This record gives sequence, structure tokens and C-alpha cells, in this order.
Amino acid sequence: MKTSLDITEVDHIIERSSRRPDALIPILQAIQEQFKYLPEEALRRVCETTDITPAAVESVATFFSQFRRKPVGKHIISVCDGTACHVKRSTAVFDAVAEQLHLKEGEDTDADGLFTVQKVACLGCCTLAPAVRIDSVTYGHVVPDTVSRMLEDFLEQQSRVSLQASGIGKEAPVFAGEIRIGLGSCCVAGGSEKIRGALMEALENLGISVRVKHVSCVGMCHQTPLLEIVLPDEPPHLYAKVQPEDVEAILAAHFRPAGARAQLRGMTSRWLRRAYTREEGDAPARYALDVRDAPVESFLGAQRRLATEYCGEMAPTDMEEYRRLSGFDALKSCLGLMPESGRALSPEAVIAEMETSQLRGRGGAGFPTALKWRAVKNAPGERKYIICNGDEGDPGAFMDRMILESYPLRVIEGMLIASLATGAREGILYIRAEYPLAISRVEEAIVLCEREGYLGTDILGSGHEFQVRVARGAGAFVCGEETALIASLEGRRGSPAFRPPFPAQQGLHGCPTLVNNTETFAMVPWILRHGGAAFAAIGTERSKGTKVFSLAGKVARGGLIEVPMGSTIRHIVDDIGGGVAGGRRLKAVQIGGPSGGCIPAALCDTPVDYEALLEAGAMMGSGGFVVLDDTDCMVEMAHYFLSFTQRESCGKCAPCRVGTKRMLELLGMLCRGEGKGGDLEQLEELAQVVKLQSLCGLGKTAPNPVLTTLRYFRDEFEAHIEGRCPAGKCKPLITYRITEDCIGCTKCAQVCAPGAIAANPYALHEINGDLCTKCDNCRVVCPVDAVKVE
Amino acid sequence: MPKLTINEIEVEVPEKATLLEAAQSVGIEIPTLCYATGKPPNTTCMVCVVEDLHRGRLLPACATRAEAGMVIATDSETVRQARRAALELLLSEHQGDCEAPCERACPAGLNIPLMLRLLARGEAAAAQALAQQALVLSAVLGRVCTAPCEAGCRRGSYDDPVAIRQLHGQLGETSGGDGGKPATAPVSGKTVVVIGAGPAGLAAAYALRGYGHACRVYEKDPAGGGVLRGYPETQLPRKVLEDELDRLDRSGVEFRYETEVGAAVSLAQLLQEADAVVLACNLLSAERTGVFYAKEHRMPVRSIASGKSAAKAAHAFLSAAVEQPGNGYQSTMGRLPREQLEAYVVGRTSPGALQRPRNPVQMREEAERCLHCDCHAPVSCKLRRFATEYGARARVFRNAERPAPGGLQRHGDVIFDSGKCIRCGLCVQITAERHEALGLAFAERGFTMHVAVPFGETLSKALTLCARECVEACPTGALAVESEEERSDNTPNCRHC
Repeated sequence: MKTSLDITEVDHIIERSSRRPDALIPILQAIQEQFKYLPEEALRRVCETTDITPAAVESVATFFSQFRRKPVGKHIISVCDGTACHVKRSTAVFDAVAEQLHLKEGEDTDADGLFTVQKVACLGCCTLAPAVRIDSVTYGHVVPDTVSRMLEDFLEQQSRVSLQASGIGKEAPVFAGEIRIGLGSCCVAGGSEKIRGALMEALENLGISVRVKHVSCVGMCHQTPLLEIVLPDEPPHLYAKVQPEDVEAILAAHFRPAGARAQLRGMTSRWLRRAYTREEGDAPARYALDVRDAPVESFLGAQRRLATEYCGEMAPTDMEEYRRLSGFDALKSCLGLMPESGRALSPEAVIAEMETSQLRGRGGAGFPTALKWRAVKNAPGERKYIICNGDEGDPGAFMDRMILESYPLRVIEGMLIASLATGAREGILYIRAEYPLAISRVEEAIVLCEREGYLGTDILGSGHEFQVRVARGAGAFVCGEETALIASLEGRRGSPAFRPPFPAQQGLHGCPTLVNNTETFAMVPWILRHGGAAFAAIGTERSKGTKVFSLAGKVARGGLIEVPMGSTIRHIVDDIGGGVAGGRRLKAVQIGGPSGGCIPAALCDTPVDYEALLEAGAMMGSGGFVVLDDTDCMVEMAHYFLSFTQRESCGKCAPCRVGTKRMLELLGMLCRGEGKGGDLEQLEELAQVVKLQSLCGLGKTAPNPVLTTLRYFRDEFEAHIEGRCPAGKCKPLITYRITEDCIGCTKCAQVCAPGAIAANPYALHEINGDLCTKCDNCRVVCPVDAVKVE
Repeated sequence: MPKLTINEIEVEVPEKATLLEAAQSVGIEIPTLCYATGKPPNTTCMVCVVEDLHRGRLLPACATRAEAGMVIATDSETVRQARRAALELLLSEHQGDCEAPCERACPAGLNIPLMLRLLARGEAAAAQALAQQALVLSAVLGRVCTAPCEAGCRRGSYDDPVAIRQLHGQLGETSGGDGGKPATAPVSGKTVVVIGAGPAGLAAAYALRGYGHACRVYEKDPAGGGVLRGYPETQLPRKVLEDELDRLDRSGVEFRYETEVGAAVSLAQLLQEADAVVLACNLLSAERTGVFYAKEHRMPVRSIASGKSAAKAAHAFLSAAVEQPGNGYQSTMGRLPREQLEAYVVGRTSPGALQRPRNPVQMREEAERCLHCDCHAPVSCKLRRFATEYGARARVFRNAERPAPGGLQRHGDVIFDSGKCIRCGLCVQITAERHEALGLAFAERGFTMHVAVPFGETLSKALTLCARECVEACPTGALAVESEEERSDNTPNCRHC
């Protein structure tokens, strides 16, 4: 971290960027990258040397949660508080981190200035819940107990960074077959980088030359890290939850080391030991997953992959492979460049195909895509823009991240086709800054496309011009709303504007602008290749095709899934997800994130369909699918979702700014046991005001989680007014007690941080209610379920 | 030229006209807070919503373009409720007093901050007139009142309350014979008889003169004053009371002493000779048309309040006027901690009250101690006007948290009181349009969003070109010119007239 400010750094940043007002956010991001926060001196310099006004700087720098006005610690710990993490006790993890760093109330940086801790809305690693990211290293399945080990591990890794870097970059000659490693964020967080390191080392040790390929996300995020060995004439072998120390053993099972004798000499005794134990039958078979195994079959088999086609097989930025797997065929047939296709398709013909497909926007609202395209095409104007909305801010959703990380070329192809249809020459991929891997993959893909002539001024010799660039979102959920997104691209606060005028008429810089969701664009190549009719043949009457969901929460097998529209919620939870984890009872499914709602178990036969979900009070949303079990309190869930939207409200219109706050206060009182008769009625009344009078979609849908929980779980709300929390979640309403079942194992006493349980081997333990902080640790560790919550 | 229907009236408007403009073109008024004519809509307050009867939506009239075939209602029950809800939400985060606590505490409703400001500006006569008008017996009350105003005075939580009672008493006693006449309306030709010359009766009589009615007071005792004659000379010198009665005499009130109603004259008789009767004498009568009651209380100031309201009722009866809507909406911010008061104390004389401000200079100094914690835009505040009009309820939300007030900022005589800001965005819009070097900006987001000067600079640096324009656009008292606007007692917002 810089101690004194080098103002020339700021000047360099500005020179690399632009002096126009719309460069504000990229400039701020670059300054923050440089100094780790936004020093006032730097901001003043920006105002002096560009067209950016102090008012713009003030309003934007304080609007986006990415920006910090104060210096921070050397490393930043981001504790994810997305839905999936929240239901898996991320709050306790946050508290544990704070305790570990000896932070006092209101502090976020430790005394040594080493770590700054923050809660973030969602890291998009829901299957690893609860997840924590330290700088760029993600840790999954963190529990309060393992926090100190996580910090140690991180610091240890830091000291090893230089060593690791030296090992990368060696090209292995291609051997028969290949080894595939998943390198989606989940896999990386699950440890696939370490696996890759171990793999490279082992291959070198063993003298094996085989192609090691990084593949897109398989979607089986619950099994990460995944390693697949594909050999000719053999079925592929898939290993799940692989540990670095297992790598050599796995390799030994499949490959014969070249010059075995010579190599063996150089091997460590550890490897020998492992190799022999393997001979004795102690293979890491527990990690082996056969694709034909029933659970894998039902996870993968029940899905239908369009947007995520070739999932787990294709390298994200391998242009050759993408082309081999029909990549850019759709674009070429639009341009009339395919051998079998005739003339180039007219823009109207492209749109007609989209119309036949009946594709609806996958961002949540479900507006017919063809209509939007046509509106942009017909809007007068020389300059038009296409924006791919990858500002996936919903806690509990990671579809956009996975698609951008795994299929960046496909998304670009979708945008290219849209540019042909609408006449736009400029495209922007708007991606949250929280998705560094997605950003770098997309940037890599753009370079590839430019090199191969898919992007540029004369695409494949057709004369069509289309250029794309990446814009990084700076941390505001509301920027998923298209007018707010455009405002932020113009260097303004992400506040929505009243529509009409719609962006299709008057968007970025006042020009007609097409804004579609990432998933929507990813669907386009498939539609153009197979025809709109083939797409429309899948799904229900009004919802066609497939939908990508991020399946997470209390489900046995979480991951990124793609299912045909019309699949029932039950089918997704039970068949694909393998039912509720830990044998608990399904209580509800939260669909659509903070704009959606909770659908109770009783309505689990509701199909995935825009209208059916709306009728049930939820919303397709962008595809968060979080499973809740009977230990989840619905009042607390309502409070959780509303606290998210309340925090993310831009503050522009009064109904949302103040209304969500007042609703949250009422819910807070209920959770604290301070609820009174009449509160539920006032809550409902307020919900209607916020729903009907808010300016944009965020406010209009913010009450949904509250309204659905009130609709389906009203008795639970009433119980809170009576001072009870039936699910045992709301701390002020519950007490912990140890029953006669206690076997005196002392585990609970060991994890009890405040010392409310005294260790007393072989005797019945007791909880001192005065000291108990209701952290739930004792209940979690008790092997005989003797800790009861009442 | 789209044709649409608003409140069942057919309207034809130019292309791109908004619903607000369409409504205005046929004389339908729609309340707006965040909109200024000629500027792009801000769509922040959502008070201008109207109902789209075809699609059942609520639309902000300031931003929605009028389209052919629309059927709009601007005054349906749904609309009224929606507007009330929007206002109640805005008011729940509104941190400011419409009227100062001293004024609210005064039963007779003296606009105390105004009186003090007049006094501080050296306009003693005007201050006296104001006090006399409200208190009727301002000199007497200066001696006998329990001064609830001083108990309410916000300065009291900082050091000592302003010596309000002392000041209006002193003003009354030193004004000599001036200021006796109430500000009179044109002569009405009506006569009202008041029975009883205690404080309530005297107040009723004085107020009735003010309304332009002839007034006769019957009193069974040989002199006026009632209970006031019971105070010891040390507390209330006879002369002070006599001067006060003289003043009333000169104001045209006719006194008939030693005339007991019931004995000398009957109520029925009185009702024949007069157009209305005010009973201010603990004499009870059955409910009768044209008879009004004023009650003598133990606290003289409450008797005066009672007399005034009886006079008001009688006046309404006589002029067949619709009684003004009662109380205006009252925004109150309650007790402020000392550190928040600091911002108010800046530039005021301090510290400590003068025990007995006697001479004009001392009085002026004492008056200058007033914090001016009442609203600086009592006339132009649209928020209060609409809150009153739509019956917004105060404190609908229990435990409602308000954003921490940023306190007062000053730029010359321009005041920015962030607690009163409703984040409408007009000043931010204006400073950007006028290319202020610093200007104003919205900082943060969501509930904590607020108007701020970039880089924490001062208001003076922010508003170098368009302070006046911002003040004029501000729909509340958040941006105001100090002491420029004063609520006369005829402002509709006033609850006392």
C-alpha cells in the first residue's frame, strides 16, 4: 500500500483512459486498484484534469459499494452473504473473522493493517457456501472453527506465490488422451488450482506427457474440484473432490510412466508409499465418479443444455475447439457464409427466427427478445449499442458468471448476431467487478475474436462492423436494471430513469440500445443453428426453451443446471438436486432472488414458467434457486431479502428509499420479538405502497419475498408476535438446552466461544443462559442431537 | 395530438406532453414536490401519481407522456391514498419542526420566534403588536403566565431558555398607549355580546373586534379582569392591569359593568339585541344557536386561548364562512442532543439568559438568543401544505429511524438544513445546469443518500452562482434564506386563526 500519494500515477491512469465524463467509473476503478482506496487528492486531480465534475465524483464514488474512501488493510477479506451462504450461517463466519482479527464494534481493519473484512452481497460461489474470498483466493465451506486455519493458509500461500509462478508455462507434448480440470470459479475455489499444480508436478515426476485441458464448468459444483481423465477406447473417468495428494495415485492408475525405472528413482518416498498402498487396493476410489452412476446420471441426465452446451467438455477460450463444435456457425449462416446456407439473412429474417423461437428475456421479467431487437432495429439513429447485462447482483445466483467464464465465445456470438439484426456497431459486456475470472476470460475471448476476424470493422469479409469491450460494474445491484446500468456506463450514479423512453429508443448516450441478459445472448447461437421452431418445441405454452438456474442452499447436489421450461420445482430439487441435504424436510424454495419469492413445499409441482411462478408470487428472476429446509425461519428470510434490497436501493424514489426501510424496521421488530398486533397489516399495506409506487423494478419487486412469506407462512409471522420462532432461528426468541441424551463427549464445550458450557467428561452438560450467545455451534457439533433449541 | 380523458374531461395535448401538463391544460391541479416547470422530471417524490384506469397502474404525472386513449383519474380514492402514503414516508424521515416548540407550547399560539426576530431586528412596535394580537393581555401575562413556552424553548437544553415571558411583558408595559387596536377587518355590521370580563371574556371581545364585529361586554363586577384581580400587587401591579383594560377600551370594546346577566338582562333578551353571544362567565345555558362558550381556566393564558377560540367560532357563525381547516400538519423533531444544537447556536448571542432584560438593548440581545429552530420556509413549504391537504398522519411508523441530521450549514443568509431535505434532486439539478464549480451532489445511496457538497467543502463554495434559484426551487425548508419568509397569522397553515 502506498503511504504517500504519487500524483503522476493518477495522471497515467487518466491518460490511459479518457477525459470524458463517461470514463469516471473506469478511472475510479483504476485509482482504487492502484491505491486500494480513493484518496481525495487523487479525486481532486481527476476533476482538475478531466471533464468530470466534483459533483459527479462525489455522487459516484459514494454510490457504488466497490469504492472505498478510506485506506484499507493489505488484504481484503470478503465474506459472502449471498442467500446460499446466509442460510449456511455466513453471519457466524463473519463474526468469527471479526473475532479472529480482534475487531471492535464498527471497525473493519485489524490493528496491524493486514486485513480488512467486509460483507459482500454474493461472490457467486453458492455451491461452496459459506464462501470467503481473500483478495483473489476463494475459500469454500468455511465454518467459524476453520477461520483461523483459512487465514494461516492464505498468508502461507502469499509467501509461496513466487514459487508457484515458476512452474507454470511449460508446454507438455500431447499424449494419447487428455486430462480435464474444471477451472470455473467454484472449481478454483474448491482447489483446482492446487490440483493443477500437483498434477503438473506429478506429470513431470512421472515423465508422463499428456494434454492437460482446462474446461468450462461442469455444473457439478457440489463435487469440486473435478478431474477427468479421458483416454482413447476407454470411458472417461471422473474424479470428484480430488485432493492434491491424491493426484499422483490417480495418474498411476491410468498412465504408465515413461522410462519407469529412471523416473522411479527420482520419486519421493512418499509417492512410493502411496503407490504401494494403491497396489494394495487403497485407491482414491472414494473420489471416483462414473458418469453412468445413478446420482451423476440424474444430475446431468435430466438437464437439457442449450446456453451451456458442451458443458464440461469445452475449453472456454479455445477458438479451434469452439469452431469445431459448431461455434460461429450461426453467425456464418446469418452472413450467408455456410456452405449449405444461401444468401445472407436480412436483419428482419434474423429477428423473425428469434420471434419463432419465442425466446423471452432471461434477466427475469421475460420480455420477448424479438420485440426488443425489432424496436432497436426500427429506432432511427446512426449509432446503436448492444449491452450484455452480466451485472448479476442477486445473492444466490451465479448463472451469468458461469456462462461468461465458460462460454465467452458463445455470448459474443450471440451479441454479434444481435448486432446484425439491429445494426449496432458497438457492444459492451457489463460484468460485475466481483467476477474477475469472467472478466479475464471475456477479455481473452475478445482478443481471439478480433484476431480471427469475428470482431472488427469488416467481420469475416462481410463489411459488417462490430466492436465490443468490457465494462466492469462497480457493485450495485440496481445496475441490473437497464436504465441504471446505462446511467453507470455514462459515468453517473446507478439510478434508474422513468421509462418510457425505453433504452431501445433512447439508451446509452441517447442512442437506441439493446440490453439483454447474458443467458439470453448465450441462447441465440443455438436458436439460429437449430431454428426457432426447435427452440419453441421445448418448454411450456408461454415459456419456451430452457432456463439456467443456480441450484444452491440446503440441497444435496448444488450446481449450475439448465432445464427445459415446464420442469417442476420438485423435479429440480429431488431428481437433479438429490433432495434436501442432511435428510431434512423441504420447507420452501426461494426463486428469483430478492425480487422473487418463497414457494412452499406444498406448491412444489409448480412448473418453471414465467406466468406460473408469478402466479405463485415468485418470479423467474435471473435464476437463483435456493432450497430451504425446516430449520430456516421464514420471517428471518423475509428480513434477509429485504435487508438486501433496502441496502441496494439507489435512494432515488421515496417509496423504495423510505418504504423498504420502514418495512425492514417492522420485520426487525418481529425478529427481535418486539412485534405487536397490527404490525403484519401495516407491513402488508406498506408492501403495496412500495410495490405500486416505486419507480423501477427493484422497488416494485422488493416486497415480493415479504408478500409471499406472509401469504404462505403467516402463522410463522404470528408466532413471532407471540414471542416464538418455530424454526429456532431468531436469537432473541430462542434458548438452547442440553437434554438427557447428552453422552458427555465435551464437544460442545470445546466449540463454545463465550464459555457458556463447562467441559465435564461423561456427565450431562449444561448451558449457562447468561453467557450463551446462541451461536449454534454446540448444536452443530453434538453427535447425538442433544442440544435443543426452544 | 393525442386525445385522452382526465377526470372524465376530454383533453387534447401536443405530442410528448406529460400527464401533468395535460391536466394543467384543463385546470386540474396535481401536487408535485420534485418537479420544476421546464426542467426534466426527477421522479423522486412520487406525490404526483395519478391512476391509469385502464391498466390499474399508478403513474408519476410529471414524467409520464400523455398517450392517446388513456383514461386517467387524478383525484380517485386510490390516488389520494397513494399520495398520502408517499407523503407519510417522506415525513417519516423528515427531521424538522414546522413550528418551534415554544410556539406549540403557547396555548394562545403566539408566534414567539417571529416576535423575537422582530425584536432582534429592532422592530419593537411590530413585535408588540404581534404579542398583543395573540395574547391580548401581553403585559399582564408577562407578570402572571406560567410560561410553558420557556419550558419548551430548545435553547433551554443548551444553556437557558430565552426569557420569552419577560420580553412580551416588557413590550406590553413599555409600549404605552400604542398598539391598542387589533388589526381589524372591515366593519361587519354585526354585534356580539360577551358575558364576563375575565381573561377569557376580554380575549373573546378583543378578537371579535379584530374580526370587525361590534362588541359589548357585560360584567357583574364594577371592573374588568376577573381572576386577575386576585393576584398580589407585587406580582401584578394594578396599573399594569388597568393599562391593559384601557387599551381594550380604546380598541372599541364597549364595557357594561355591574350588569349581571340573568338578573338585569336575560340571555333571551341579549340574543335579540345581538347577533351572537359569547358566555365567558361560568354561566351555563342549554345548547342554543348563536351562543358560544369560553372557559375561565386557572392558567390565564389558557383562558385567553379559550376566549379566542369562542370568538373564532362566533365569527364563523356570523360570516357563514367555512371554518378554516384546523391544525396544519405538524412536523416535530423532539428533543435534540446538545451536540446537534451546536449548529443552531452558531452566531447567536450567548451564553446564558439575562435575568431581567429591562432596556431596549438588553431586550434585543435577549431576543437574539433565539435559535430560530422553527422552519425557515413556513409559507413556501409544499411538503407541509400537501401533508395537511392529504391528511398525512404524523408518526405512523413506530421506531422510525431518521437519517442522522447533518445539521445546519450556512452560506451568508442561505441556510441548508439537511434534516428537512426530501432528496427531491432539484438543487442538485440546478447546480449542475448552472455549472457550479463544486455544486451539490447526492452522496451515498439508499436510505442514507443525502445532498452533500463535494469533498466536504462548505456551502459557500458550493453555491456561488445559483443559491437564490436553489432556495426558490426547494419544496421544503431545507434550503432557505434565513428569516426571509415569515408566516403571517393569516397563512392557511396557521392553526390559530
